Amino acid sequence: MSDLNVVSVEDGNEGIVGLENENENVISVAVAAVTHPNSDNNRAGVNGQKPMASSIAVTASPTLTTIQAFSPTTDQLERCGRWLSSIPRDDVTALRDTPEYHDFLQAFERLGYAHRRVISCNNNRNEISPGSSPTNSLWSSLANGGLGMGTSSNASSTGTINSGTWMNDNIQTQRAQLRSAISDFAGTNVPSTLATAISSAAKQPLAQQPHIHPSLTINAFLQHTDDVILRVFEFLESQSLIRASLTCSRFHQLAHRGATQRTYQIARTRQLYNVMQLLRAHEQIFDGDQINHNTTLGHVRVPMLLLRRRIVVSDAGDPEYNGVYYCTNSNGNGFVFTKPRHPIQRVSDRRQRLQSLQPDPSQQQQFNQRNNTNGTQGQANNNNNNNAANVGNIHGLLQRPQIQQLILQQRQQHPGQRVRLLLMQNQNVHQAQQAQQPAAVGGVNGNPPHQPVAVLPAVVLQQQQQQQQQPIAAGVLGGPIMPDNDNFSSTRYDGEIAQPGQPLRCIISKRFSNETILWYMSKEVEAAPMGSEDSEEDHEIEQDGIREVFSYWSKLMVLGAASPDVCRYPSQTSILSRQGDGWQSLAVTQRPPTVELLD
Amino acid sequence: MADEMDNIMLRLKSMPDENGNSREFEISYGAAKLSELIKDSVGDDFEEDDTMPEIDVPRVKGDCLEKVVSFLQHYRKEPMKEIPTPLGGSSFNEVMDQEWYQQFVDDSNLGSRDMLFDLLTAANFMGIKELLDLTCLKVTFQLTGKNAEEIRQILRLPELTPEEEAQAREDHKWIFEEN
Repeated sequence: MSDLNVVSVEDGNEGIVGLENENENVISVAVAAVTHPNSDNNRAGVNGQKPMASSIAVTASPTLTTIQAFSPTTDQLERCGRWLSSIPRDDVTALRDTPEYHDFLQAFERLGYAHRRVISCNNNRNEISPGSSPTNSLWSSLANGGLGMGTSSNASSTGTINSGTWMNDNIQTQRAQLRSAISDFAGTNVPSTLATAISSAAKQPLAQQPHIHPSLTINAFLQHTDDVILRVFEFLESQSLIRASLTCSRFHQLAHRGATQRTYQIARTRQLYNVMQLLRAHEQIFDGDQINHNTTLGHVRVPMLLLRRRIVVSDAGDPEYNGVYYCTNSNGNGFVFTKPRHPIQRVSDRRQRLQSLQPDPSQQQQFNQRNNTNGTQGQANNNNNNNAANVGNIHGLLQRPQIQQLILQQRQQHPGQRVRLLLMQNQNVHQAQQAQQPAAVGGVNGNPPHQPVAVLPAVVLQQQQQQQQQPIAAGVLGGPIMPDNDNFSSTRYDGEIAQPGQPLRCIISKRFSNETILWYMSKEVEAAPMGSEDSEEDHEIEQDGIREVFSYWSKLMVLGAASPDVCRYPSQTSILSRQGDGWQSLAVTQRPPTVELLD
Repeated sequence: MADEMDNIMLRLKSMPDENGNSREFEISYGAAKLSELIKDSVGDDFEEDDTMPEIDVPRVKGDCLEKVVSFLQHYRKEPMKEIPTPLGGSSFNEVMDQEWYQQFVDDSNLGSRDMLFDLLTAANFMGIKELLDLTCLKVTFQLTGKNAEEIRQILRLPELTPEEEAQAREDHKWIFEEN
């Protein structure tokens, strides 16, 4: 765009500015929104008079090469140019205060109304009355002489467009026709005519979603009630639901309603639906002493944002651990990262899967081999998993028939109560076994007297004799193995009710091992009911519980090796490896995973 | 009791076609009672000795009603498993693992998408929740993975205005940026 000259185009009340390039072709036309200027004398109208309001802003197609019937004098054009130049462009605040800006906005809005009117009328025409053409529509205004373009191919084509086929035409073709029709406006005294057409169209009420009688449509999905559409949306995952919401306004509303219904529970428990509770939480956080202490207003739970970044686990010997973890919770030890396990693992046919659960033969073989040694510890495998032999394979531990039998015995003796599993040194086994009877009454090792204790001799578990701290499966000593069956769902999901068939999880969380905080990786395992193959009774999964089985551990990252923000996350393999550490496996049969941050 | 209901026969009459002819189908009450419309129409005090009731299903075409009857009859023999939410599968056959029901809504059996929509309409009208779920599930997987324009074409929907579409895209910018 060089060597552009302002040329005169048309006289009249509207100021038209054309730019002429070297080839003497007008390459663009700007129809200025000429309105009543303010008292600022720097703004000059055409012919020194206050220009009339036309409020049109239309940019013609770049393909336009000629302008017809516009030929204001040079003097008028210069005045227009000065007036345009006087409009502040750098000072947005001042620009917004100009009447020209307001008129421009109004003109733009009216153009938008007209555009929507065209689309609505076209849809209305084809859906309600396929045989008739719309009246009082912009399109008819354009086509029926508002432009005086009888020879225009576009005008003739509009008269011959079969409304019945409109719905099947390429939408881009329709839009191109509309654009080209608008671009041909310059052939006549367009601005006022177009303004009239736009104004008349804009005065028509915007067509609402027409009520479509089912007999008049050809299987249009909108004929269905909201409930049917919501049922379809109930099955859609978020990405497809969003795309469905982009199709039409009704789907947009229903998609949001469906998403709201599906997320009601999670939003309610996290106080996302109750702004008054949020306001109270805000007061608790920020207002503090300014709150009237005499108020009887109770306190609310403060919603907390969890860690934003994701964790990716890979190369774990147990493939169920691989995947992306999100921070979904926090507990007394710190943040909890979880991921659902494979969809196939969902509890959809519990009885069949429970009956098919068997102890792992490979683990059983290793267990037998360890038992055949002379009480010495098993050697670590090649990936430096000394700890795996020390504390036994927690994952495989609970699968041992002996362990399950022991637990079952305790549960039969003490129905409805939790069973704690203790790892004892060899020399303490005898004492514990002797004390086991009184344990049910008087307690052992500080256990409450009513709590049954299953004591396992160390010869079964190969507990390490070394003095250095070794990670011990916190799930064994740090808390009950079996969740509280009465409040199973709420315990698992921290107050959020788990839906039936909720998938089991893999979990990364901080836990204590003796007095050391470590990161642990675990997964939920459905317990196999003992004797289920002989029993004809249905065993609900809730009765047997879901165990948390620990498989990997790692040391916490230290400041200096990692930034404080990164240290909040599970220890990353890439950082730990610089210190010669990494994630460790609690089972000889499992490779330690690679854990890294995403995002 | 179940056998008694199977001995009670009903006659369902479809919507008249362009020639004014309706199709009629006989079905046992034991199978038909899955439909809330039929159950309410028959009532509770119907006895086996009564004449065979004829129930008009005015909004369902003959071809579609034939398939509805087929569904009801098969459901009596092999009840359809409840469709869980979340679905638990990434394809229709993964979620609905019963072969007969897979085949029932397959394109080769229905012939066209119009028939699927007709079935969905009929299920909604007749109050057959299981058939409604099955057809909704099928529609769901037809929409999964499609963009807005394709969904619009499949379901024959009108467009959003450009402003509405721009606003919607702005609201959900995160998902489009990630892609």
